[in-house]
Amino acid sequence: MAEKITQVEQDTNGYKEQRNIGVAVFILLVALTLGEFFIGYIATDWNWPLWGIAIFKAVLIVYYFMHVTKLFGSSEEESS
Amino acid sequence: MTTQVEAHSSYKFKSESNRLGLWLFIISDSFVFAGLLVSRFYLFQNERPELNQVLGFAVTLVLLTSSFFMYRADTDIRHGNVKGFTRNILVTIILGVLFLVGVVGLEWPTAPFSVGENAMASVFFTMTGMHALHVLTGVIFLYVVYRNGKRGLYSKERHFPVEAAAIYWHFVDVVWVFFYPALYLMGTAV
Repeated sequence: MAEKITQVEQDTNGYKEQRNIGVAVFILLVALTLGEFFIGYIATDWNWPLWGIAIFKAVLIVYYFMHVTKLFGSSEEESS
Repeated sequence: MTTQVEAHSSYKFKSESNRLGLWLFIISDSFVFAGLLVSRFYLFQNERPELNQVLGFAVTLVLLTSSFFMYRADTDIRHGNVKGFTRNILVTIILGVLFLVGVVGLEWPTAPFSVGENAMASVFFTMTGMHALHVLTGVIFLYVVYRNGKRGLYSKERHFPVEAAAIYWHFVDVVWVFFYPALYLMGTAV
């Protein structure tokens, strides 16, 4: 019963949604890394696409995984 | 006055201050890595060391996966799932150790040069060594957080150390996001 209540609480607070976001971002990061690998494999002087992919990957990690927006006071759940 | 003192001693206020301090540290630390990245391009421009491409790709995937599990651990504790948190942080630690084994244990001994042989070798070992040191620090930090989590020190309401460990770990991943193409993919192998 207690487990059921915890499950309901987790679902209502967007637990599943946040986990799904994590999966989606991870899949995107792996796909971009694969893209990088093949670009590096076929061309030695395509530095700008590689920079672009690296910056995009970094933005994804900083925004979704590091929760940079919390710095500006949003999505606070801690209580005193 | 009392209300103001109470507000300043609240967990939320402390977490916000700690978070700001952590981000300032992250930003200052990123300048060290940026300096290494700049020196790599200044010295070698469109050349790179002849490294094991498959190994480089594999360790990158390992670190990305560890970041994913760290995200899950962070999400779990923020929703009160302590069991999921400890399980996911343990997977993160294992993957972190695996990354270290890949870079220091496999890549270093098979690198086409030894430490101090030439400028390229120095830059390569400094970049990967500095990063590996951060990964090692992160693994130790994660282990402390894991142990404290097992002892029940974190909850849905109070878990800033977990958030701090997660931010640090993801930062280490962001650094590798730039180091991987700079060392393994950009330029002609020499």
